[in-house]
Amino acid sequence: MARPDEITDDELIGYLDGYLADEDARRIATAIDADDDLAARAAALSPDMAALKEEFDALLHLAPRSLPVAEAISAPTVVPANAGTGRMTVPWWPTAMAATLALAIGLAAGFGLSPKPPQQDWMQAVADYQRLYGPETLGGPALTEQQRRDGLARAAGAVDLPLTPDSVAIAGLDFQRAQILTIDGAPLVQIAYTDPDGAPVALCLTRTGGPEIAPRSTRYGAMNAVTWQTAGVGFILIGTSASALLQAGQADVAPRISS
Amino acid sequence: MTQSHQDAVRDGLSELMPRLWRYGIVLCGDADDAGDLAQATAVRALERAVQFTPGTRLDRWCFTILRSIWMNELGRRRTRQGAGTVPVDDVDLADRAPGPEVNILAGQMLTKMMRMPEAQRETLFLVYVEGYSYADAAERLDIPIGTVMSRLANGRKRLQAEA
Repeated sequence: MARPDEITDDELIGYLDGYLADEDARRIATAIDADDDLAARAAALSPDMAALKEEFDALLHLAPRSLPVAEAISAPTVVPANAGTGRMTVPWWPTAMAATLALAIGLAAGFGLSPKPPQQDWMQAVADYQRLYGPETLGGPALTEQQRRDGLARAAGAVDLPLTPDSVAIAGLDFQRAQILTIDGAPLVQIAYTDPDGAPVALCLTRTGGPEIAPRSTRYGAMNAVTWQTAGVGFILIGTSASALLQAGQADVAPRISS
Repeated sequence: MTQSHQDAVRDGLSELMPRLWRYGIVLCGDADDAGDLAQATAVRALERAVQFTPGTRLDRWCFTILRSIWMNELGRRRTRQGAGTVPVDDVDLADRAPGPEVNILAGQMLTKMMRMPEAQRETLFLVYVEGYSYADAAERLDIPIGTVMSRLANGRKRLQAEA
């Protein structure tokens, strides 16, 4: 006969759930009958599982009414981005849905539900990278005017956009340098600035092929950001600077750097 | 995409929505998030209908989608909170007090379940509410069967213990 201390909790679970072969099940049943400690262990593992299932099945009656998915999927409408839910930075779904269901392809991009631009979630990658920037990052020997111009020219070529020191100038920010990054194999340009306090600010852009998205303010952790998309290019202006400064910067630079 | 794939998914989805929402409650601990998650799942299921084989289990297929959407969202939330890149499955969110919706139900087992660590709660839910075998749960959660069983054991002890 098996010694009770050889029977593990895992075996008891398997026994209680009916997974064991007949012979093993009989062995354990006999052991439980013969040993009070083992019986106590089995009891400790035996809550009322039927009650559990019942309570969870009762939950089903509280589920929201089935949504007219079929109608929604055939007639998508665009909902203004960031309706200021206050609940999450990027709403998963439009919040005010009563009689009608609005499928927001723009919002759905947060889930990758949109017609999958090649660089899904590229803004999050930018935020993760920008989070590493501190006052020292751009504090080395300044590039010459020519070096900055050359760096921008390379970046302009990579994304086929008119990027020059004049076109990327943002009131209130000092342009430092441009670099060409990559996301999912596609070029992503980062244009680095410092704000009046010396804090790093980045304007990042990449060709997404996505739809027009009006500028919206958002936050990534401790950083403010303004994001927008136009002519198939996605933009994000991000930094720890005040949101108002970034919004003004967006309005300033956007018309000059679109293709 | 053949019409039969779309139809199979669309027809099955209406009656599946409550169970998607319920799984959402288990994962998110919040009825609003669960609603959002269920609807996002439905949309993606319809978009990917061509990948579904009519006649196979639509519920399991949709559960996979739902879970993957939630895991991505969790990853995003953790990154925004500066939690770094810890693998989502290895970290249990802090025990969450059940939201008001769940409290209203006042079911003892339900309340205890919602106070459990997320990984334990999900494992018990899949096996004891949705009827997954240990092996299916292990595959769904991408963990060894032994881990499934120890989560079940610890979860059952917790349910059985005095509140």
